[in-house]
Amino acid sequence: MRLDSRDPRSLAGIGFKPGYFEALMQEPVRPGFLEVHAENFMVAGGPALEMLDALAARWPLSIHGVGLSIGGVQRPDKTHLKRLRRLLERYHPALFSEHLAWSGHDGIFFNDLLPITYDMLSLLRVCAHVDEIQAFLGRRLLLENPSSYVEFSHSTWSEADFLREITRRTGCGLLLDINNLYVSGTNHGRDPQGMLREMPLDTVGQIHLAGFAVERDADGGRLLIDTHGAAVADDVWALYRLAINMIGAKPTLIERDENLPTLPVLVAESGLAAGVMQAAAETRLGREPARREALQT
Amino acid sequence: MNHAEFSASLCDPARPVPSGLRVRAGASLEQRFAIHRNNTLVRLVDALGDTYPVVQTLVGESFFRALGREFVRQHPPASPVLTLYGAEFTRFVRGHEAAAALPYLGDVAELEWLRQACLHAANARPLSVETLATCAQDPGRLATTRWHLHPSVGILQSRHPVVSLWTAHQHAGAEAIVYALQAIDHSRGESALVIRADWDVLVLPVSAPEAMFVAGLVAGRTIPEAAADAQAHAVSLDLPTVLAMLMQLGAFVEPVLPSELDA
Repeated sequence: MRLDSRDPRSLAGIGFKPGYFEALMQEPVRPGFLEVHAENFMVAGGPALEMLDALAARWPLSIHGVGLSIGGVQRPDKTHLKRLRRLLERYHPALFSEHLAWSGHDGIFFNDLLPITYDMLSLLRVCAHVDEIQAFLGRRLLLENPSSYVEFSHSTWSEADFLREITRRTGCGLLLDINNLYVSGTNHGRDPQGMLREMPLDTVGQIHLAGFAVERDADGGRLLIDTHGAAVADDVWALYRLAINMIGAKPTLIERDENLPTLPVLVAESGLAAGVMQAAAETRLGREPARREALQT
Repeated sequence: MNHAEFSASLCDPARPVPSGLRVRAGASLEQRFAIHRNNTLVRLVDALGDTYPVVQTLVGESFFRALGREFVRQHPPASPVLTLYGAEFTRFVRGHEAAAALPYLGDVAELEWLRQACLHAANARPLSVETLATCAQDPGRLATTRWHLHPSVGILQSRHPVVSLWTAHQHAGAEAIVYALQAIDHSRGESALVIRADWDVLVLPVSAPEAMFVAGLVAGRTIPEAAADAQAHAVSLDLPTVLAMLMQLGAFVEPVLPSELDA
């Protein structure tokens, strides 16, 4: 099922959890689309796939991978790519994404999104992996900017420049995770607004919003942990409004993996994103009377 | 960055933080890197806890977390598909000192693993009543056919009351669980048949000869062969009853094509 890019409500989605299934099938309050983690559905059979079949018949899907380890030394695992291809062929999701990170090495999967150096060697490796993935799967990938806690002394590029160069060389798009941007910016003492403006915004295919936990650094400064365990923070909403005003409406997902709220609460939060997109669209129309007239006739 | 060095530090907190990392002035590199060490361990132990909830309740959460961390260090996942992570946990539990205090722990773990494997096993089409009836009327065919059982079928034979232990933990509320646990007779063993029914995983208590018989069918024996094996160990296999139960559960299925299994 495709997304309707003219309707902001249909562009605001939520992360699916099995606990939401019953409510989703009955609920009058409906999210615009659903995102699932690819790896949770790489099973031989049973209820997981049947559940997703039922959801796919009613909603556009976003399939979000966490296991390709694009920033790893090894080439993407062929077995895993085949599993992914089978899933994409079964569901034809409206959106498909992975991370600018690595998650495994030498036959061990760490189940964490680990940071990479932003230098030429790393750029060439990531681009080769993205090329291989896109060729094998026969579709464009959206690559997500990471949340980070440590950086590398040898990095010679900013994250934004690094991502722009990847999108330019491989043709992949950006999954702009505004919470990650805010978390990384805060943790590394940078201005998240400035970081946002530097991103390759013309390539954004989807946006992620989520909540974080606040800890303290050794000097008492705020240390943000990307937990997906809380409501989206006000500062992140402010960045989101800024982004939408710059690039217009984009499929936007509220990610929630811990402290799951009830479905109506989560859908209401996604409704806030729809509201931001609606307001931005009206402001744009207000600025362009000719276009508004054209739309009315 | 050296991925190998980073990985080694990630897995072993006794190692120093990998070289070449930096954090902003005033922040602690140790503390920041610990976030990654913690993420890896916590999420993998969480995944283990999702598969082994009864084991977790039996040993208590804090002991389970410690046990889980030890297991994750010894058996890290090779695949990013974590739905079937922790296959070696049963053997690990049996070899662990915790098993000495709770001798049934390993068998409970095995039952929970069978449930997880059952949940995600391949689909298969049960044989129609007509097919089964036709076979039943043809003694020659019934005797020589090697039946295919549903890929979700699992069998556990235990010296401990493993089904009662597992079932007790399905009650809501700690009080109800304790009450059910107190009623269990630990002197007798139990066997379980695990199979998927629609979207549920059933854990059905079966007799030891029934378990032996079904295990024989799973291993590819014919009905007479499996029945003979079961009866060699115990006299009381009620063959018509167990066959009727298997048919009712849709356990006899059409052959599953290899391409469907290859997930």
